Amino acid sequence: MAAPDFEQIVDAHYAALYRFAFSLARGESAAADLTQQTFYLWASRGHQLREAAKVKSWLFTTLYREFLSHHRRESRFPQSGNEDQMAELPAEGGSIADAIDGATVVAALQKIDEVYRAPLSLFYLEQFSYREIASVLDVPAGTVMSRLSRGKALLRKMLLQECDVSRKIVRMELPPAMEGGAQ
Amino acid sequence: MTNKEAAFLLGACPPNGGASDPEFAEALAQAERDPALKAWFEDQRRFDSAVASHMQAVPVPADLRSRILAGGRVSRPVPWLLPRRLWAIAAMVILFAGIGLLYSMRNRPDKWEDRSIAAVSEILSGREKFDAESPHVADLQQWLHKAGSPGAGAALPDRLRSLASLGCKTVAWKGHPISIICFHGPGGELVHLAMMDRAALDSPPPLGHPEYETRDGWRMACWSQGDLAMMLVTRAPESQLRAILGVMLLL
Repeated sequence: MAAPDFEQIVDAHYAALYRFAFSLARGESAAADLTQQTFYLWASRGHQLREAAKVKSWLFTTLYREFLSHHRRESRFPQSGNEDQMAELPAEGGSIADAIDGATVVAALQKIDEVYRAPLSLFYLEQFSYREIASVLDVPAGTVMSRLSRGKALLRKMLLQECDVSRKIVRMELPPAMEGGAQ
Repeated sequence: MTNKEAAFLLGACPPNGGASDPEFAEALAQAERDPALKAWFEDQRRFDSAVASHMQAVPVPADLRSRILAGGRVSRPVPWLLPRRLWAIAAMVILFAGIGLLYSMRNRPDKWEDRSIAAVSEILSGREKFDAESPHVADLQQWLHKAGSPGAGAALPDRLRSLASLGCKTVAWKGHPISIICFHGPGGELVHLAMMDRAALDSPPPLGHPEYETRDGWRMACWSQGDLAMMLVTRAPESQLRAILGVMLLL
């Protein structure tokens, strides 16, 4: 099968890449520039990539690195995977899901630290597996799982604030019935 | 595994997938057996699906595709001058001491000058590489010509042309290519030439006569030459820029 040409690759990925950039860069103009720069780099070097199946991963990885190189001037990554999220698992997702809209989700997401925002965006936008997210972000898979868990908890909390839901946020502990668990 | 451990795993299960992934099989089976975990997981799935659908509906600028395709028509590099990489490595070692500049540009550049300086900084930090390397600027202009990048045929000031070059790189700014060539300056500091289509600029620099400016510790000289907007930028004193461009000033 012939390798896709530049235009085909753009058509297949530019919208998703833009949305990922938008979630990172918090601005339409910056997101568009990041997306353009990523495809420019593909045009410059992407032909070196032999495996067509890896194009998508290459593009997202490159965009993320471009974002880091331009926007993050100090590393804030907690590289260890020891973030304990289990104490903060929320239990009100359904009711929030009924209340939110697109603008609310974007606003809430952009209030979350980029450490969590990046894996959440990849998870929701492209439904990358946690292993793929780990590859794109260049962090251990366990760290991705922790950040997804913690990030979702933060997102719920932000959504509750954005939606001005006036009920208390339940202590994000799993219900007692779940503590024992099936073995 | 405990329900907490199962919930932790299931939290990483993609909104519309994961059922076939053996990593999740045990946790999913446990969710089927345990009503509390099952209720939590269904709630989680509903939340994930709602968030995913909203995020996937973020509108994309209508002209983005055409801008990307326009930007992609530049530079398809050929690694034909790589043996000169030692020049770049030596320069990088010298310049690493002054790399604090890399962290001073916190925002996406709105000006082509800032985009060019940011690209130079990336090269000097080692985070980006030259597209082509050569101590002879003619080689680099030949490469730019093959890549269809701006400035390939530009007549450079004699003093600049006499300097040993390091390499060149083409970057994009708002969909327009910028060609950058780096030189060893006469005083030991590097000097960088950026060139782009002046028609792409709302306020291109003046024809023939450089405007001098200092920005974030960089000394800049900007002018237009034919269809090109050009900028010479360095960390060296402005006098070196004036020395390099002096001949042109007399024209």
